Amino acid sequence: MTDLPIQLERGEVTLLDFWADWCGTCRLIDPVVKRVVGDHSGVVLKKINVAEEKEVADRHGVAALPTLVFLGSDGRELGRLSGSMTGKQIEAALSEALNKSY
Amino acid sequence: MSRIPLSNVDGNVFFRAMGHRIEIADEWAKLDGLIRFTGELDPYLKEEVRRALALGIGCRFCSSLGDPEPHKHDKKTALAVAFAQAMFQNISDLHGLDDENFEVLRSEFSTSAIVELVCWVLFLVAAQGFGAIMKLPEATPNELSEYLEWRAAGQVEAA
Repeated sequence: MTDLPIQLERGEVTLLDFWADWCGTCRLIDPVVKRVVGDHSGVVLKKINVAEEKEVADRHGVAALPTLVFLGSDGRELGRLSGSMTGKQIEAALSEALNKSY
Repeated sequence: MSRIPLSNVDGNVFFRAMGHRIEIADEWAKLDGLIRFTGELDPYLKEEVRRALALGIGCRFCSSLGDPEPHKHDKKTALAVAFAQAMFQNISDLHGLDDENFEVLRSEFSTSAIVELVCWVLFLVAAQGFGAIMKLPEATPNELSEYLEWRAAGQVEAA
């Protein structure tokens, strides 16, 4: 998997945020995702516009927007969320991913 | 088959079910028209919010009045529908909605439009909840055409 933006240390997580211009929920959760990620030092956020990076979306089996995919430092998928979501749900999924990443 | 026998008042299956308390049904219909056809938000946007929620709430009558058209949504409509879905999914924990959602809404809508949207969503949850609880059947072709005519007339009056 080559979607990791930087070399991560063990125990760190990359959050791929698949979005599109026309997606209202993507717009609604964008600042929420940024806030949750900002609360964790070991998490890197990578926004992926599916209109521009369709092959990346296909590779990750993205079938609905928004989709958040949590990847470990080895590129392994640690979890995902799709559709309408709250900060609490993102936080819970991220915590679980961080636990799995060790 | 609905869970209650329908009243004999004139109207569609929803109105006839609620028509056992005709004073409530009359005011309910007035409030529906008031929110739907007045205010800042486009009636098309409000109809798309209605259609999107009907699927999730499970009111067969409400769903049968039209399918959502997400491919036709402008940015405002897409955002309003997204917010309505977020409200409905958090209906048992409305405090759980994120404050940031309102920052995004404020970038697109005035305060009065946000109030209008929230009122519309809550009204729809109640109305479509009534339809779901009473297990109202899908609209007949006649009920559907009356609904479409009512919407068209309301939109002309609003414009």
